[in-house]
Amino acid sequence: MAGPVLAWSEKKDLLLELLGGGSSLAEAFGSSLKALVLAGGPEAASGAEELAKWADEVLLATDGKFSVPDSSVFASAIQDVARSEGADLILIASTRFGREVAARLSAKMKVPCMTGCTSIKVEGGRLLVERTVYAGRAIARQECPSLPCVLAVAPRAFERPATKRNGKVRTVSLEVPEPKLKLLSVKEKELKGPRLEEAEVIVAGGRGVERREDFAMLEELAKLLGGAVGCSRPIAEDRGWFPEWIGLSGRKVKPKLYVAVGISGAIQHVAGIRDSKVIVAINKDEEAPILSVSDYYVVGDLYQIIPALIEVLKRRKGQA
Amino acid sequence: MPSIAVCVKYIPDVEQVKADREGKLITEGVSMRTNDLDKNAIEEAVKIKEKLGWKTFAITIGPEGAKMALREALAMGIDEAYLACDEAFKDLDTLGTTTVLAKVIEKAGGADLVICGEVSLDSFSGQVGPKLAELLGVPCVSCVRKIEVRDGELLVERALEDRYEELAVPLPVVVTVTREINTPRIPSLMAIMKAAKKEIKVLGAQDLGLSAEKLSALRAHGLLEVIVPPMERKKVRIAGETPEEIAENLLKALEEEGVLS
Ligand SMILES: Cc1cc2nc3c(=O)[nH]c(=O)nc-3n(C[C@H](O)[C@H](O)[C@H](O)COP(=O)(O)OP(=O)(O)OC[C@H]3O[C@@H](n4cnc5c(N)ncnc54)[C@H](O)[C@@H]3O)c2cc1C
Ligand SMILES: Nc1ncnc2c1ncn2[C@@H]1O[C@H](COP(=O)(O)O)[C@@H](O)[C@H]1O
Repeated sequence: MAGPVLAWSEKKDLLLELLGGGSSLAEAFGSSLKALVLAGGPEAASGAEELAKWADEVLLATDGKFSVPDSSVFASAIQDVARSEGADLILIASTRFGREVAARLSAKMKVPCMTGCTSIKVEGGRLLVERTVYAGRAIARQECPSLPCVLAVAPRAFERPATKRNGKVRTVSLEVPEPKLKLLSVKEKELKGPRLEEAEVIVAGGRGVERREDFAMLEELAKLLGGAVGCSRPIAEDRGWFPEWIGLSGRKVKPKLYVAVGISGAIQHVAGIRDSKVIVAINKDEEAPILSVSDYYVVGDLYQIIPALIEVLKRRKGQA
Repeated sequence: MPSIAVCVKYIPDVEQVKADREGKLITEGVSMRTNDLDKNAIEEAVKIKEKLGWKTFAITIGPEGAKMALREALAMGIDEAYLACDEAFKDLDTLGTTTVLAKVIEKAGGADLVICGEVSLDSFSGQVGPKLAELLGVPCVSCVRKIEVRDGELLVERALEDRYEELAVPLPVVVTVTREINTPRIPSLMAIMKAAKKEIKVLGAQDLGLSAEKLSALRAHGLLEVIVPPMERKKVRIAGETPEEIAENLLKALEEEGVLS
């Protein structure tokens, strides 16, 4: 019998996922499942009741200092709770901020920590973890050497919870250190939700697409194929044309048909499209790595091939 | 004069790793290179140096061969280089790596700013930066894509999944950088030749006051295996005389696959 499984994330939806996977881990450990909500204000505290349905207990700490995204402050608060609850397994969603908090927390507690975990299981009393390594090319299987430990769980590695635990919310008061960071401004991205994860067909553009306007072409093709448009990371993060991208650090997709247009096929990109049924690549470079991970490829100029595809598809639709 | 420490890891080229018959990772024979994001870290340090005249030094924990990463850093414009090299540093876990890095920074006279990569592409943990901040007792901002030094403070932009945050943070501080922060320069042949003559200070466990006992407690354990999942695809080239013909042929193939609606 181990100490409780304690789950925290700055994102409510991901905290819910942690409770989903945490539930079976708590069962395997013969321990309880607790969620921690660190709220900067009453608004951030809302939803704790809903979470409590899926946990044995929700611990709620409200303090204005949690509205500053300082990992040191969050790590210190989680450490306090982990200690007073005697938690043996601390689950944190492996977002960029969550990963930072997990790392700091484990350094404070001097306990093992693994980030980006895609699978966590208890087998024969051993805690077995899988995580992505080599930029998405490989999977490491690891055994957690000792408890307590901190595991940062990749988003969507766990399903949302299915069995109710009907716990209660308990308010806790913590000594929260003063944040050292000052939040000057926030620019929210306009995310389109799970649209890409659910798409059956995706036409994705990369740096080979020269202008923002040229994506209209890809959009038209996507529409004719009954799918959505996506892009590689540089299109989103360097050029700012879209709020999100496909790949290891972006959306992981699994459409029936993935069309990579002017994308070179860096492993970080390929790691996000691995589960596609059919991959098509259109690239003018015969040596582009994407070609060797595609089912069908065209070596050619996207500015000729895409209009031709649109043309032919339109003609076919017209005849039908 | 304020100083900047850059942490640089020398890793197997992740694009080249392969699997053996059982699907296990092979890194033997794979060429080594500087972790991509650490080049961004070096570039950012050199940019600040060029603007403000700060002193810069790079640190690598690794075998003798990892000097290559430090030579590259020197050629890009870093002032000094430290290689932490010792049998006892083999297979350290992230806390171990961080413990050694913290000691080297201390030995080098401390740092006002420490720059790491967001992750190392091989171990993909993203833990070293934040852990180093914890050991040094300073704040940390990870996944930074813009840095500006102003009045003893750092103004940074952090890129998160759903937003960008502009933050002010006092020095000393540890930041980790994303690939978007800059484009690492390619050093000139002159700079490479000059760097080849520069001294790289090599430090062992003893030089850093780290006992074998302490280090053995910081060894990574629990790794069972590393699997490379197959990425088998058909790889059929679609050809044709004209773009239309190529388009027709491609659509025919997709129809046969049953993926056209
Ligand atoms: C930690 C980390 C995480 C990352 N995560 C991701 C991720 O999640 N997703 C991601 O996408 N990237 C990611 N990257 C970046 C990745 O390494 C590559 O830099 C990126 O995927 C390259 O994007 P690209 O293929 O669009 O551009 P490029 O590599 O520049 O490729 C452009 C391609 O277009 C082709 N082309 C050019 N013109 C034409 C034309 N007219 N017709 C046809 N083809 C043409 C070229 O031949 C080339 O192959 C990550 C990097 C790091 C370090
Ligand atoms: N052996 C090492 N030597 C120097 N710096 C390192 C080493 N390992 C990791 N780092 C630094 O820590 C960052 C993140 O690494 P990781 O936590 O392994 O993903 C890297 O980008 C480097 O800046």
